[in-house]
Amino acid sequence: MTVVVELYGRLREHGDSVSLELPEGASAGEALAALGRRLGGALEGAVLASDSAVLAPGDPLPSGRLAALPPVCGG
Amino acid sequence: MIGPAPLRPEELLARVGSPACGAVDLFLGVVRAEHEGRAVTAVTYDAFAPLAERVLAEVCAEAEGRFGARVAAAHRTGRLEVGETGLAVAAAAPHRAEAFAACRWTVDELKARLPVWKKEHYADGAAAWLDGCALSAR
Repeated sequence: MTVVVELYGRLREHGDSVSLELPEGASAGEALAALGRRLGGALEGAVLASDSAVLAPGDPLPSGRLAALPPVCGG
Repeated sequence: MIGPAPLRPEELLARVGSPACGAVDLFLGVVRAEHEGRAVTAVTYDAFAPLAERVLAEVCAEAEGRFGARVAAAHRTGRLEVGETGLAVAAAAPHRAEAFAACRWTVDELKARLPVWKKEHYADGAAAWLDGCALSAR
């Protein structure tokens, strides 16, 4: 299956999103690992999130938006 | 309460105000002209808006339960010049100790949990995303 991951913060240096080809039923952890193979060290400290929660590695991927979030620094 | 429009602290104050509250604390995070010795001309805030809205509401609700206060907050996105306000937090409580504590706790939690990122623009034309706090599933 094709999964689109939105990129935020410093990850935007790699574009606003990336498409990943993942096995059917892939977990958030598997998606993050695949994203890491694409982006390399830029992904250090990043997590995946749906539009309502940060995802744990064992969580299923959401049917809606999926985003890669590097360490945050608002305020 | 996450978006590009200039923040309106008076709206936050109106939301937290109550006849039961004798103390109101307002924090404004303002773009500073210097960071670690470099001259800063502006910052750009990026946000994952749907999650940021949710986290903002969660943190304010947690602060209200923790301190017995009324709390409201807003964070701006997009490009801000030096002197513009990026973060506003208002906390109201019956007495000042709870209002100060709730406001400070909320600011600290938002800095650690809100999916917002800051890119600084420097006087020499360079720009850099700042380091931050790694998120985790809750």
